[in-house]
Amino acid sequence: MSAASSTAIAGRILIFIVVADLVYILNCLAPYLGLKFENSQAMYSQLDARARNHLLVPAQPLREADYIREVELEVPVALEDEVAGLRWFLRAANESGRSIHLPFLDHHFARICEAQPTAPIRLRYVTGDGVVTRHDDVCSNPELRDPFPIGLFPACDPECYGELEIWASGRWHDPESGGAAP
Amino acid sequence: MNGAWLARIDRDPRLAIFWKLLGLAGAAHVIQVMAQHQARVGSFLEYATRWQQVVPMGFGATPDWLAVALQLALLAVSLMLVVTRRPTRVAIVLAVVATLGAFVQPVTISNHYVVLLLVVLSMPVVLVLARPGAGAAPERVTACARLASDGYARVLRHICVITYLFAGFHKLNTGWFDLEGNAATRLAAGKLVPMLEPLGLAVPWFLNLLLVPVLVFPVAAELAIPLMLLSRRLRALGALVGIGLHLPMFAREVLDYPSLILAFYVLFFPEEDVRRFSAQLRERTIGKLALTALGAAAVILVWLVILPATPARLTDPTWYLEVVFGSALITFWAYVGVTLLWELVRARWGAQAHAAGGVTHP
Repeated sequence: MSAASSTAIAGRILIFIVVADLVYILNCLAPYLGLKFENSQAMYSQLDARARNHLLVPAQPLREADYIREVELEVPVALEDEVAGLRWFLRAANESGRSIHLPFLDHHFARICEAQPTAPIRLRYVTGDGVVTRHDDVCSNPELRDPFPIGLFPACDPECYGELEIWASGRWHDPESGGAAP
Repeated sequence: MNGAWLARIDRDPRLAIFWKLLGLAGAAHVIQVMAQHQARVGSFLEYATRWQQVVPMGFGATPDWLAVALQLALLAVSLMLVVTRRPTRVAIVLAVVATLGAFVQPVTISNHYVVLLLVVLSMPVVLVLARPGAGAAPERVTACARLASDGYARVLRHICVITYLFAGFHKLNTGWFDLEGNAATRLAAGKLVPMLEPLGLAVPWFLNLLLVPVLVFPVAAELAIPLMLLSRRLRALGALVGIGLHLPMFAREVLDYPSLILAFYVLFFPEEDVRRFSAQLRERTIGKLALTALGAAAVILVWLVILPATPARLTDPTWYLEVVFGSALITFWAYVGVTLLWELVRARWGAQAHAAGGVTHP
């Protein structure tokens, strides 16, 4: 093989390496840019979901509005069984002072709205910057029913993976096996 | 694709070992997912149904059979990677399975999966960039294979370095350095206090003395290991520090990340060092085996003490599979660490003896 051909291949691979490095570095910097948090190698790091507690990177108010608290949901009586797990989760989050990532709830609103509720589903919450927000008919708001296939941010801040596991297991209605009564 | 070209890439000793270790890491990932799902969430056969109640998983509703089949396919292809003599072809299959499997991974352990995806997806790109073309002369095939394996090893080294640097960088936060708030120190304190109380040593200053290294060592190691691995003089020591950092992680029932990141180490060493070290691994002395048994037993015991089996787990075959597979991984990496330490000591001793000999017998 000629030296020129060899150099051309090595050059193409080098360009790929630079591009791959930049993409991966951007992926890992994403928490500080407000782009995403999950899959950024911040596992077990205790870094805040909004990257507000880093010692070197100043906190950015990029995702304040996305994390909401004091969430209240009002659904028709016929859908109470459908939302029982979600209700337990919201209550657990409210009681522990955790904020919930609003887009995380989109998955649940899409599911509940598919059941064609007979009356409007109402939602009330306080945004991260303290604004009280009300939605009188969640199902008529397409933005609240548009789940992304993979979570980009933790469901809660501080994280609540344990609660998610309890919810998925169905143990949330059994205080003796790790859950709590709704 | 040119078979002779792929065969030459497969013969790169560093990549051949890397693929086997990556296969072990892939298998560890699936076994951990199964065992932890059974323990914390419920039947693994209802994997998708249970998680889709809680989090979005893929595009639309994923049936249980598909989610379980993807996990089992990942396990099967990973194990094939361990035993095959044609790892490059199997890795292409792994790239497909791992990409589809990305939509059915638990939310709690997704970081290392991104590393796995980067590894398997960047490989076909390098293969395309360095392909010799149809009917290429044998010397061109050989040269392209060398460019592909060297280029791919370089991609992998970069992935490892970036992963470590960011894992360390993200930990530079007030939450990590909070002795009372940090999950690792809380867990350690919970285990230490009952042991120290009868000795009258459960006092704050003594506890802090024991717990501060739990916070500082991981950050310092994660920032230093990639730099040490890149340094010709320090890479063996860096690998030893890395094994020392990751071995205790197994004891917390984290099998996936340590197995995956440790697989990269071999790529930082030149081929002749890899061949020499492989020969050293085959030299099984009583001392090395005894030290390995001691180290591995300590980690496995801590694992079973920190996470004692509940009655439900004792009836769960996936828990036994996890304990057996995890114990084998711990023993393997403990043996690699002991051999590395042995060789470092021998090299140092040899150098000193040589220097001393040089003085006394010019």
